[in-house]
Amino acid sequence: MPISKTTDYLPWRDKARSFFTGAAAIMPLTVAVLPWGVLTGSLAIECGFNPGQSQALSGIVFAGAVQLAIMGMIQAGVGIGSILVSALLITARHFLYAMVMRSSVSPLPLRWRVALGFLLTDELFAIVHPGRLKHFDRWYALGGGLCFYLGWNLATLAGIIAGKNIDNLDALGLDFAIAATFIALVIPSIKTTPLLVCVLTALTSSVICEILHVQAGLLICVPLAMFAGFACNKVMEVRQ
Amino acid sequence: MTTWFILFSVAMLVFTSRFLLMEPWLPLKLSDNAQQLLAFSAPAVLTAIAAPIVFIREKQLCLGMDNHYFVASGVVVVIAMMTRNTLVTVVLGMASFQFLRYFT
Repeated sequence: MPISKTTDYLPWRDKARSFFTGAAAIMPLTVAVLPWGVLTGSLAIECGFNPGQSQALSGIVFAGAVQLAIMGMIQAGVGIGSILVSALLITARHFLYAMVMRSSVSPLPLRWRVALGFLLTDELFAIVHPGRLKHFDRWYALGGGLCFYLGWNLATLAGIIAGKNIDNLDALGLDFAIAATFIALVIPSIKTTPLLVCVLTALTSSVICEILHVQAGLLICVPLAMFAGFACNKVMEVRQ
Repeated sequence: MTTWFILFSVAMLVFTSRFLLMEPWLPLKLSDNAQQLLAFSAPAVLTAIAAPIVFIREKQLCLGMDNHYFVASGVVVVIAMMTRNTLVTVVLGMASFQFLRYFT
């Protein structure tokens, strides 16, 4: 029986403890994305969305990079086909996350799969993936996911209210907050040589793609970096 | 095409990308090799998003002290290795970035 099933029979006290442990685990990441959330809300207002639509971007799309990309495109009057293709390119990494989480989440009932699927962001993945969490716990994942959802949406709301009142919000270097968060997530995970190879490959190839203005850079760099790490893993296995 | 229609379409697309491959009815069996490969996805994606923000200024590679993103990222890497604490790392990283912007 998969370990995740056993939490079904735990008393509520233990479920609540898991829930709040998950919320506590994601709290640093939630705080770290607040500036980015505020930026998202105020940019949506500047792009001409009404407050309801601006909040819905965070409330139903719930994907920072996708939100930032489509706001500009909708404002520019780009067709829905192009918008969906761009969103697909940016969101494609979630297919990878879902595949990693498959063994933990697929035995759960549908309502859990829908809830955890909706909440599966970079940040939630960072705290629940098998490399980080030895025994998957659905309540831990739900606590983390909901805490992050709440934080992201409250930050967006703050940005909507602030709206145009803040001048040069995007000149505050909030994009550095994104980079700093991701660096802070990646560095502690580099525990082996293959992981280092993977990170360095992703770093080099993504910078090269950006300089060459490759549109779907992520779709090239990410598989390349994953295979580099994997190949290194294989070479080291053979040597042992 | 109304804005709401576009918003819901994108929301469905994003949700599908997160939800679909976790579905048990999908005949998808992962070999050991596939699982090993997928373990590299998170560091690969996060690095590939962060690196261009850090290294590229005005569409050019910029590795000098005048690239505040680059210098502050160095600080973030060092703090992350020392503390292994995400919140401390991000807060001190943001502080050093703002310091660089206003005092250099």
